[in-house]
Amino acid sequence: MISDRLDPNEEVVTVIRKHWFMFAIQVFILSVVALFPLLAALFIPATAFESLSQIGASSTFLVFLYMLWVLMTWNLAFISWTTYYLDTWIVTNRRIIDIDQRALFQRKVTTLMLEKIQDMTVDVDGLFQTLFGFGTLILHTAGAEDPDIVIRYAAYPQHAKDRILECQRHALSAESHPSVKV
Amino acid sequence: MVVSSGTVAFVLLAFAAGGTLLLALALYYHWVRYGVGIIGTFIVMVSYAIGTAVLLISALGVFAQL
Repeated sequence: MISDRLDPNEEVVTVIRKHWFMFAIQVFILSVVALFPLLAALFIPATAFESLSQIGASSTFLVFLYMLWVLMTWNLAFISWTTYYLDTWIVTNRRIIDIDQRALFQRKVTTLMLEKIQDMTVDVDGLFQTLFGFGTLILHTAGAEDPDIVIRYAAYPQHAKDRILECQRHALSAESHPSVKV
Repeated sequence: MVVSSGTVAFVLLAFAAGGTLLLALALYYHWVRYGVGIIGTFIVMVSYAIGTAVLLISALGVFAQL
């Protein structure tokens, strides 16, 4: 857990995730994939099933194959849920931890100190992003060695930007007045 | 050599069960290491286990009829 890896006096202020709409799209696609054989069976002529039974594939065998197909989509749904949930941006009172969970075994963690953020851009593009309140939040950094952090499909990016700005202000004032506890 | 549908089904079932078991271990590792603590991990893993058990037992039931 991330709270175990924070510095002393470091606190998690907020956790930014991708909007639930992105996960809902994945669930919808997986549902279509799960139901696809049933829908396809409606359009396949009966003669095709007869020829299948002639080569030894009974209707019970086809039901069995469909069960495995649903099991596969069920597993894919849980992989999607895990990658969605673990793909986060953690804002602490000192830094932003960008955890990029691309796949089950593909994970990249980038840390950016709040003082290094120079600019922030919120990009809400299109009907769905406007309706559901998500978009891209880009954190521009000062140095060339620090790459920009791009938060795609972030939920409520304007709110997240305000929280980061607030934390940055606290961090900068704590830096110039070290006796003040943040 | 003609392979019966029962043999094909057995091989597929073995692969599915083995793959699901490996995936369950991978999911458990991720949720424990990076997840939301014991309770969150428990909720996710129990819901995964229930769904998987229902699907695997159903597949096993159909396999028995082959």
